[in-house]
Amino acid sequence: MKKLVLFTLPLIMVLLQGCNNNPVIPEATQIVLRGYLYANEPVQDIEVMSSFPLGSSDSTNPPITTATVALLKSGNSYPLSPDTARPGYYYYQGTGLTVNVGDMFNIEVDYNGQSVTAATVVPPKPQNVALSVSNLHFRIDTIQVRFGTRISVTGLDTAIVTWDNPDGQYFYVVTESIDSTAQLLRPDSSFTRRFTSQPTNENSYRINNNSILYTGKHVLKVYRVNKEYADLYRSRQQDSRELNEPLTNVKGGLGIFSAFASDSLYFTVSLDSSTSE
Amino acid sequence: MNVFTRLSVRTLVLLSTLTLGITTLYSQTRTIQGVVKDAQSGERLPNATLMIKGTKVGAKSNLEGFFVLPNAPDSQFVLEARFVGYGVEEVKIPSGQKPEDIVLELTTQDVLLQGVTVFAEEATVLKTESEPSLSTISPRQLLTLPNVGQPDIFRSMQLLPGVSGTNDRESGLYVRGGTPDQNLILFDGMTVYHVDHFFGFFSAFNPDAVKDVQFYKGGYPAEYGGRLSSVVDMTGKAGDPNNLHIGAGLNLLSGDVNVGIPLFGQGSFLVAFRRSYSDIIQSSAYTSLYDFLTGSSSSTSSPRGFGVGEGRQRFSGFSTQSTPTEIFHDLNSKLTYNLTSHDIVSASFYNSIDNLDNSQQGSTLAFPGSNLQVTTPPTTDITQQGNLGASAKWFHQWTDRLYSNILVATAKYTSDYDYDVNRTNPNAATQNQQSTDEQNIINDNSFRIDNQWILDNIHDVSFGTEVSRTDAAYSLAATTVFNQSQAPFLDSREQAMQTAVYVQDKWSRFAGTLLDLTLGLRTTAYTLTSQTFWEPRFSWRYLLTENVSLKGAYGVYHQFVNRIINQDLSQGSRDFWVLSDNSLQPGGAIHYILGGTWENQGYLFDVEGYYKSLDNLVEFSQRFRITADDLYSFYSGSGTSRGVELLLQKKQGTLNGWISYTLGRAENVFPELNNGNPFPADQDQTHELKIVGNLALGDNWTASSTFIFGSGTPYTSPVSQYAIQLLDGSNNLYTHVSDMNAYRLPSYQRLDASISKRFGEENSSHWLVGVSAFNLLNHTNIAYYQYDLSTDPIHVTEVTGLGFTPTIFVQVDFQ
Repeated sequence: MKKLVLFTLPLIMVLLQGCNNNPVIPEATQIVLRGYLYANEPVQDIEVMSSFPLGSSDSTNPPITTATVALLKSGNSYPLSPDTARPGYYYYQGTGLTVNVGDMFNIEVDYNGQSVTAATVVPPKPQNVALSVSNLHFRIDTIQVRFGTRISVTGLDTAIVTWDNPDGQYFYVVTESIDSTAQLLRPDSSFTRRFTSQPTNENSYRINNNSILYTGKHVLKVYRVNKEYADLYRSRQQDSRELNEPLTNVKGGLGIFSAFASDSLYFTVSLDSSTSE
Repeated sequence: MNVFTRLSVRTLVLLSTLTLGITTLYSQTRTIQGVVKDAQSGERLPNATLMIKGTKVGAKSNLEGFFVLPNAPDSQFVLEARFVGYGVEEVKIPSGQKPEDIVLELTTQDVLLQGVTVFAEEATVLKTESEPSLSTISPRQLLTLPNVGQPDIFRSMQLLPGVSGTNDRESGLYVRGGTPDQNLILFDGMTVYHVDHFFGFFSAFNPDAVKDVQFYKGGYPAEYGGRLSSVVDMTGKAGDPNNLHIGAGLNLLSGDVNVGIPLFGQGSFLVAFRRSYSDIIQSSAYTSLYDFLTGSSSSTSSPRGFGVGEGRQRFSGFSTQSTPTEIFHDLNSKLTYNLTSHDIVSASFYNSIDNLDNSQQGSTLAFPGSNLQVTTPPTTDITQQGNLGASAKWFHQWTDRLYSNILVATAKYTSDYDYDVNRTNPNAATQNQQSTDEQNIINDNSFRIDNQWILDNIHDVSFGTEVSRTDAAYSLAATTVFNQSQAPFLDSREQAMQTAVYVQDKWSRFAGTLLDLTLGLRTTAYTLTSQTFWEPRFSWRYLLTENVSLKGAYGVYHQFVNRIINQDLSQGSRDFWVLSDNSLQPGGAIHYILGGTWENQGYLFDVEGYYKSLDNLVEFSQRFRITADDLYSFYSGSGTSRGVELLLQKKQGTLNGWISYTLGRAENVFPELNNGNPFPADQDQTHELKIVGNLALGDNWTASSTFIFGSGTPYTSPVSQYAIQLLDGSNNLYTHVSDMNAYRLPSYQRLDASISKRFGEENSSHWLVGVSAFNLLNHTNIAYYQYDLSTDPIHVTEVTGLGFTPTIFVQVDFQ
């Protein structure tokens, strides 16, 4: 008995030495979906991407160009086609699909054995959208400074857009220059023709004059935001210790699938200038 | 007289004789009572087994060592007394009238090895009882098992099947897929919440202060309640009422002393104190241990490359090893006094403190052949935890068959955690400021009355009541990206009353068969939820043959205080205790147990299968949130745990020990976590093999060895990165974490060995000297990973268990 035990034990230990695996950071990729639907606009803002390894120095998701993507509405399936001009983007090629207020959409993405789904409802558009001024005036001053001159652009008007929001829902505001002949106000600005605000659950928004780059005609759109996008925005920061991830409505994957409805207004931007010392 | 008539007459005479004989036999019985004691120390021995030799008729001694054998035969018989770790004692009971109270004095096996004559031996360290899932541990015999400087009760229980033995960093018990908070830990009636010392390598219980350990792995009886998994009921030593005893012990990590003072031959006062001394003197072994644990001499920072892209190797992370420092002490004292021949009073006090320092110095790691350097910041990480408790008990013997215990107990658990680190972080979406201040206090006060009424040799009835009040306070203040304030964002203070009543009947030889039943019912009223819980308890044992028995148990259990795990992937999870309330409903469990035993004088083979269903399990997370405004969330779910345990034990002889194997699965489902998919519980472990051997080498030398193998436990890991661009053009980068517990740590292996020698004279000093080696093969066992995602490349710390650690120990007892 003793010999049996004394012989068997080392044998067992040697055999068990081989039972080891040692992953440090497992590799796994997930489908990242960024899908936005806009009421009364064509479906062309669906982006399918892949996550990337932790050790990578990349900061953008690699696009997935060969996924099978379909929108479902009222029991009908509408397959989306990959946009060859924009890798990772998918759009609806036909004419039978419309995005209307109140429509419920599901999306299905299949790629490489992974399946991702999400659902959203097109919200109602904002009501009683109004802008306090229809023409924003800016003054450009050329100021003499110690080693030359400096251009100063000053907004002379305060433009506030308002809308109904009795329930504290979320909205965001987009301002965009649509005048192709417009004059550039701020040559060194980092803003673009199109500026999107952060979501707000207020019923008004003060246009950031610094975001106005061009003179001429502008469109202002107020979008109603669904809960899933508001949750994403409000949980967008990740703590390196907790590793909390933003809330997502995507099942089996990451990202966001949401719908928006908007109402539009127009305003113009004009200017005069002077020089001061 | 014809044949038929003769046959009828003979039958009638036979039946009459038989009936008369049975009647006579039944009426010629007597009640035998007495007490079981330790022959050397005079300690009364609880839960000792008394048996009429050659029969299956017997009884067990109660906590005060008293036993009663009702309806013992009037004829002469031999009474055997057995207790784990002691030799078997026999006494001849003469025929006739009821004898005077019998005193059975058992001799410990270590004394027996010095030449005292005995008739037989009981199991040395571990005894598997006839009741389902019940084991008895001999604290005294633990000294012979390998240890890392301290013999340990809980470490020895981790060698049993069904109890995980692969948790180096925690001596709490993971029993049949359950968690340590699901175990009711009692010491002289006090509830103990924190059971760890020294990174979890030791339990907070000094074996020198413990007389008996009853361990129910499941299906525990109606006298216990409030936990979902198991019961560890420890009885403290009372001391010798006639002699002064002084004992001391020393090893390379800690020292201990115990003193037992007799009180006029009617009682004793016992004090036992144990403390680590690394803050005062650092032995060479401790220095080596410290260096190993903190990685100052063995830190490995190796690039972990994976993936090859664009013609070059990418270093995606590197790892270092780190283990903390620890200072601890515990103090036990107990006063016991026999007021009368029927009354014993005792008062017990317990205190344990741990100061755990997991702080890390900052360091800069350079990679050979490149200009790449990574700096890790200095970190403050200090935990202080402790237990403080006292109990007072009055035992009264009303008659030779009716006993009562009245107990008043109070216990307090405290935990204080301080964490702080500052580092730069190039990742715009991931923030840097990290500080945590966490405090947890539990006050548990109880009053209980337990009665035992031995009706006859068939019915042994227990009944009683327990009233307890629990106060729980927990506060958490953490500076995170969501909260830059130092004020607590989680602050809970609650109190609750529990009132429980139970009744139980141990029904021997049910309906004249070989079936023993234990039928019990416990009911508990809980104030915080205004609910009353009914908990039926049922166990049975059927003797198939003299050596083979079948057994089973069923029970309903509830738990009203929860240990919440705060999962922290980057720094290691922490825990705190809160009460159940209307938002965190009391947990519930149902146990199903079925098994069988083959046993003879020398060997035991035991198989037991179990299935537990659990509900109202609680998870706490700052990682998962229900709404965007949440800083944390509690989640409720359910779970199952199932498995089968095998135990093969050689109970006696110069070579003794056991081999145990467990196949198990523990799985949870939380609808709001992991997309509602089932996931392995943190403590899930599929395979676990344990081999324990003790070898008497002669001349009082003993060698022992333990080997543990366990398949890897699950863990959750960061696995990838992804970016989301919002409508305002901002691009946020995130670390994605895997499904819960989707991966497995490497398997665990550990071989421990020790050799010791006893020497000394009877009625003088007794010495035990030995050498022990923990993790003799220095196998690296990874407890968990820590991740620092703010560095580039990512820094992964493999937090390991203890490596090869030799120790020398000396134990001396004077009397």
